Amino acid sequence: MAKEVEEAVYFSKPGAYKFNRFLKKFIVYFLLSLVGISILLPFYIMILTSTKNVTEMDAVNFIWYVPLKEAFQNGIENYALAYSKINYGRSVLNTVIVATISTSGTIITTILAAFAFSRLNFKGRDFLFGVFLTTMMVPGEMFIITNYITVGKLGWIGLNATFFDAILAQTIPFMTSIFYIYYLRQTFRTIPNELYYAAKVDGTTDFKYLLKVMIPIASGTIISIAILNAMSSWNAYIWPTLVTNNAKYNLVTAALRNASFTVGDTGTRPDYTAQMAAAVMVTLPLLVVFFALKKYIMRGVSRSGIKG
Amino acid sequence: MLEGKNNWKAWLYLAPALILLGIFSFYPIINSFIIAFIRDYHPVSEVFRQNVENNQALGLSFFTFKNFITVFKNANFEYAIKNTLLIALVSVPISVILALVISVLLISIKKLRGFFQTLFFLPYVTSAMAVAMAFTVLFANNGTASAGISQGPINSVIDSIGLKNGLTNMLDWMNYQESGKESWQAYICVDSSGEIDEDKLSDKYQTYVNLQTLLDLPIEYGDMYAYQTYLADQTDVYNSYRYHFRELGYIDWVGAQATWGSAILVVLTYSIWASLAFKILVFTGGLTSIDKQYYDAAKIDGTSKWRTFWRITVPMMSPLIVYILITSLIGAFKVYTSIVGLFGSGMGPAGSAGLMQTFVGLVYQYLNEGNELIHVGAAAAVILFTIILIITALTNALTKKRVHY
Repeated sequence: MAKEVEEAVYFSKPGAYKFNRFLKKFIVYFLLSLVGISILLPFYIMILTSTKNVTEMDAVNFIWYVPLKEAFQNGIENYALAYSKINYGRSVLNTVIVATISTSGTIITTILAAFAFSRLNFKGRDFLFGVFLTTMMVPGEMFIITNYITVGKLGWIGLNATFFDAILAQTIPFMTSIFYIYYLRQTFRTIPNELYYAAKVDGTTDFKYLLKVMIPIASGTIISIAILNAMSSWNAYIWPTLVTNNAKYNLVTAALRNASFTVGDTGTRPDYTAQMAAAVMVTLPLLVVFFALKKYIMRGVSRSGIKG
Repeated sequence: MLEGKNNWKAWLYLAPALILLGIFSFYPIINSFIIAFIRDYHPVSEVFRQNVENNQALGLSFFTFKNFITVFKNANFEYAIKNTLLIALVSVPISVILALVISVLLISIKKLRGFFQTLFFLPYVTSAMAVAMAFTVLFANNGTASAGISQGPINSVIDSIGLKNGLTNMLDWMNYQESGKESWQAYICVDSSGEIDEDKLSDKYQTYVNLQTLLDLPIEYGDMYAYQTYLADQTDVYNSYRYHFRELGYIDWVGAQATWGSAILVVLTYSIWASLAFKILVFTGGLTSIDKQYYDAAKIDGTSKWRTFWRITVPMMSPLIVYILITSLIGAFKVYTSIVGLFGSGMGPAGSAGLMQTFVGLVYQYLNEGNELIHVGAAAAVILFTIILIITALTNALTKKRVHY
């Protein structure tokens, strides 16, 4: 229908219509490019600054572009300094350990709970689910205060805490998530009941049905949950800073913020060149993961609607 | 029935999640509520028992509102409220409108749509801490006073497009207004040139005399002098911000010379930049699912684009807009990590820590001060919880009639 209307308009005033359409398109692309540039600007400044030396950083007229060869030379220096300042190897290792453990835990508990809520009938199911949904509204700070006391009583934090304690403190409280249970339950509920009854008639157990039918069908959602959860470990700052006293146990984001970059060894003036090199090193792995698994991430975020 | 006897099995499936949630989610809600109302709470039981005994000896009960009063009396409480409200009331509406406009534009194109969609989503998947630190570099000035202060990227752009003067004036005005928060009395005594207006001052003094007479209290003549000195001091503070950046010659957004006005603009800019990605993703998803028939019908009727937007797009999108509005308002009240990224854990520019304090920042301030003040942190968290409940209820009530489901 719309096409016919467009054609009718087109044939009545061909020249003006064509020009108007071109102009409108041009304006739309122009505006979108403007937004795109402002989105990219902080990233560009991050990379650019990481390839400058302090003299270039201090130049009275801002330098927007560093020649490639010089950028490379400065870059090597800055990135090497950043690598040691934020203890990159160690903090990435810590983060990967924490992310792996908490993500595996979350996946297991989430799948089991979502299965119970979506597939099984039991007394108090709707009431319990209502309690879950209400809990989602409570700000995280309410949890953090008591959890801080709890992990303290469990002996996982403090000056004598070992690496193992630090890992426990950063993973055990995050081994499940109401939000992901809710999200996975939605996916599980789209699987037709008939499949379940058919499996039951064949004598399949619930657990086998979950393993062989539901998990494969919902694998997209489960992968989304795993990626978002792992990315949130990478970005975690508040809890890791609170529960670790030893710089060796830092996760990447805390390491990035806590490292001090100053011009000269005793200076108070910030050295943005090495700091931005560290920022690039923390950002890059996330971008690589994003471009590799874009489909799952964007779908997961738009469906579950949460900050990863 | 086929599923009737699943009762205990279901609880078995739920057990891992329930145990963890019980310890780390359900119990904390109750416990944090309780300790917010406890006097001299200490998480280590020995100390707490000591406190309990002391309190009993003093004849005090455990129940108290003292913790809440401590939060209200926090030196930076006013900044926390002001900054949090500004983020909620300025950056949220701007980013919602911007995201809606960008999404409509995005939907109208075919070529490069995927490219732009991915590009606009980038802020969401990058490290918030790293990007916030890059924002600091974006706004920072470099160099030293002796060798010459250099313009950062934003300042040099502002300079080259001729916005420097306007922005300097605006920031000076903002700081002037902000620093006047406690000196409204001085404000009405200052005339347009910044001089103390003696007539108004004496009016003020007359008010004091009238009040004292009315209350049958003695009039202290020393008070007049004290009052005048007080007003003069306030006026000094007030005026020191009047031409701050004008006298400095450049705008210091995030450095040692930064002021409340410049720092909050950086925070607002960052908040908008960082929150667009998620909103655009949700809005474009919503826009593509609107039935094309509505637009076709409007086209046949010759409805203008503008009218189509307001009569079809906005009503059809209203549930999503409300959802985004509620979640962003709640998000605005939880801003913390981005401020740490921009200004460090001091929550403010160098030399003025706490200037950019937020509500959640208060909670962590008490938490970081060790075990002694953890119950005050709990009180702050309870206040935050209450605010979030009120926002959700209000937004729901206000939009119920207007939302088209």
